[in-house]
Amino acid sequence: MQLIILGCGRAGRLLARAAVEEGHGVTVVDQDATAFDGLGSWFTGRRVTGIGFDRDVLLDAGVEHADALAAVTGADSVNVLVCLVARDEFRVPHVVARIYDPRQADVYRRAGITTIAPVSWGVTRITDLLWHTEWRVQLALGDGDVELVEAEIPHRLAGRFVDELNVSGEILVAAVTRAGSALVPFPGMALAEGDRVTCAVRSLSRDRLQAQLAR
Amino acid sequence: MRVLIVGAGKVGHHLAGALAGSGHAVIVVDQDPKACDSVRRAGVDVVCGDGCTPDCLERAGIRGCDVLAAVTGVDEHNLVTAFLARREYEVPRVIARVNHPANAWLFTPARGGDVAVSQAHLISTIIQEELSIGTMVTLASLRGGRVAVVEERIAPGSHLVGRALSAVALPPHTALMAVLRSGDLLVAGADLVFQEGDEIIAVAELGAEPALAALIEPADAADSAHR
Repeated sequence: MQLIILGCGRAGRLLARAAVEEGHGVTVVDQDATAFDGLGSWFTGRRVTGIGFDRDVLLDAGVEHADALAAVTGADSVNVLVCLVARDEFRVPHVVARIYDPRQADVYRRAGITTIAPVSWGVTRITDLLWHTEWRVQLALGDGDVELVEAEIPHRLAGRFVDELNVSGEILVAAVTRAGSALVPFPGMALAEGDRVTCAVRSLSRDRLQAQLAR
Repeated sequence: MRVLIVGAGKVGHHLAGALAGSGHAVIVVDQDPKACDSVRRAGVDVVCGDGCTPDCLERAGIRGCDVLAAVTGVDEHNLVTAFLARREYEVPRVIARVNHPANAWLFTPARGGDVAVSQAHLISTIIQEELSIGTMVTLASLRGGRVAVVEERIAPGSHLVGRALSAVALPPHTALMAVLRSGDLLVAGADLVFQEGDEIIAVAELGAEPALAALIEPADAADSAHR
């Protein structure tokens, strides 16, 4: 596919490399031409110098035929603006904005812009590592809206049914790992001490699952 | 009215003073402490912070405000502030400043609020109007540019001079609104008789201006001014 990457910083370069390796056509846009120096000889795509919301720059970058656009400049306002324009004016099918301010990220997400909020995402990961050592996030789906979490079953839950942990629309136990083997839960399956459960959980329901699994 | 002004540069500062002077409750937001101090010294409430962030806008009371004007010198900031005001806080009236004319296309109602004010455009219009003899000037564009309010001064040699409005056949899709004569406003009526130097104010649909100009301008001028 044809991908436009706005911003040739660390994230932009890494993303460009991943896209090139996947065989996609890549155009990188940055207002500072020296930013392209960081692209190595592996970079086979195009470089366009200019401000990302400039109409001529976008057209030069091929926005009319792009399949996707990722806005990863250091400025939240530029990132969201370019995504809005790419989506609404040029009908680019997939746009993603990196937004540092978590509250702005929420607004833009509600406005239908796929948004990556590295600050809130990073803080959640760090608190997991610092405070929830018995708790491992194995996979974040979407922008962390749903996570696949592995946790240890405390002694007090031994003998209870797996189903009791499930909460419709919020928490679903997807697998139980016992003595090194993983099982998909079946009706009537009971938990045992030392089990580890892997649950799909809505990020908003994490506290609830943590309370259920508290020692 | 409660008015939130984002941007304490020359425009924001001046606007804040003018609105506060006419009795409105004004709060100004800017991230530059020096700019904030200068507005505060003028007796206007200030919140120092980034007007692109919900946190700062809420501190400044965006939830209760009737009007928001985003007038910083940075177009992308004005757009984001206007977008948040519109989308997240449902501010009844949102006005955004366009700094660079090349960015004007970004300021649609969905992104940039109800009204986009481009000072480069305004100033150039005013200057063109002041310069105008025998040239039609667009004072305002309505309905996304499909209708224009235009002004033109009657130059010496125009065949309108000495004729009554009732005796003039206006081109289709145009209407004459008024004439400015030595500072007086004369509302267009059938008995109005045109004089040299009259400033004609008219509305015209897109595409009808050249025919209107041809009517007002002396024959040779109309050709050169409207290619």
